[in-house]
Amino acid sequence: MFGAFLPCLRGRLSDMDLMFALLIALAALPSPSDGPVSVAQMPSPSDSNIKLVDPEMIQAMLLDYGYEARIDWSDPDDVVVEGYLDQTQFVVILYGCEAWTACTGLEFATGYDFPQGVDPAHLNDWNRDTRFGAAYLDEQNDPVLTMDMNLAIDGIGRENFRDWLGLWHFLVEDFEAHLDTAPPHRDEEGLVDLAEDDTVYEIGFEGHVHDTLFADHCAHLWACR
Amino acid sequence: MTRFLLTTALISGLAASAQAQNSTIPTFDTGQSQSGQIPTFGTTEPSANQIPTFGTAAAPTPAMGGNVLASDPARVLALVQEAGLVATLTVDGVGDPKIESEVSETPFGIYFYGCTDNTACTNLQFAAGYDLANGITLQAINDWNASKRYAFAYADEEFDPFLNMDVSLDFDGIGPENLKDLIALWRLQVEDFEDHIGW
Repeated sequence: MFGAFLPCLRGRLSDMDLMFALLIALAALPSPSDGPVSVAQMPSPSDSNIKLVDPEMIQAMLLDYGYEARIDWSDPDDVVVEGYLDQTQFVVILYGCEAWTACTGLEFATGYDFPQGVDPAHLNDWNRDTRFGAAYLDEQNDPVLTMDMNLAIDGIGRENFRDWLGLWHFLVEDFEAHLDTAPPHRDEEGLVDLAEDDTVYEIGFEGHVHDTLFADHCAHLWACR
Repeated sequence: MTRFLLTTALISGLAASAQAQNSTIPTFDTGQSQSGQIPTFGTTEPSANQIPTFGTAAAPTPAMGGNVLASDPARVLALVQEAGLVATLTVDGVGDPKIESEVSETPFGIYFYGCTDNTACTNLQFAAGYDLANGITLQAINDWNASKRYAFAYADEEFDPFLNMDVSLDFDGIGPENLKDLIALWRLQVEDFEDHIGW
């Protein structure tokens, strides 16, 4: 099975990453006690699904995966979960909530301040080639990356949810690598954008991200062909 | 490039879009489901209005219980049909499962990804493409992606617009009603996108 897995790796993983990828892949296999029945023939019970979430639940799941996470309650109309991984900060916005409980959707988002903006064609290339994440330019022509998760009604499986958390890490790294070669934004006359920078909002995490290594998620969520 | 800084404008903008989306995108939530009436959009077949809802008195059959996985294309097809769409199961160019369907006379595909030997697939992509005589501007594509969730757009080399929505059905999958909610969302997004691009 790993023959099919390996071609999906995108070349930035260390041997340690690969080892963990294999361990995680093995962990996802049914145990011997499950017998010879394949996963495909065994629909999972949905009563343990992730649904009707609140900020504390999202914070706990981010922490469990290995992200730093905390909740910003400062604006009662705008509660967000802030996450941190490696050197990337992001927010998780909760949708469809009732008084910040029973939320039915999430949006992961992170933004990058480029003094000269980013070429929209460069972003379009990423959107064309990348699945699950979506990128756009804000009003300052700065790039924003988002990933949406629907948790409505009967929600999604717990392991599936965990896979999404790893996917987000993968998307952020891939997007940042893409931004490394981003041409500046130019106006209709071909001039480079010199708009003033935005006011920055810093997430002041102290300490380091938990000591967790992440598998490449190409095998699960990426278009591998 | 200043990395890893979020702007207040970004956060307030996203929150604003959260409010807007909350008011415009219906979810088939408990209140509606308990009535047994699922709201329909566009050209939904009337027969699709009466759908047993998961976890209610109209108990699902054991075969329909549990989460849905991309390794079970027939069940994905059944859920697409339950959501009110005409759909058929076929295969794509490499032999992987593919569901062909349409919204408002626009054909679209649900492609199965992550397959091994054309089976045991792990995720889906809903995809619709439009051949525009004059193409689309990247500004229009960006405006869509800045204001919409779940379904995102890009332009190909001829500046023809495409709309995609990705769904992971790996590991323990997702709830069947959750998938039907996404299908209903896709319908709305396709219709909105066609207005957006002047189709």
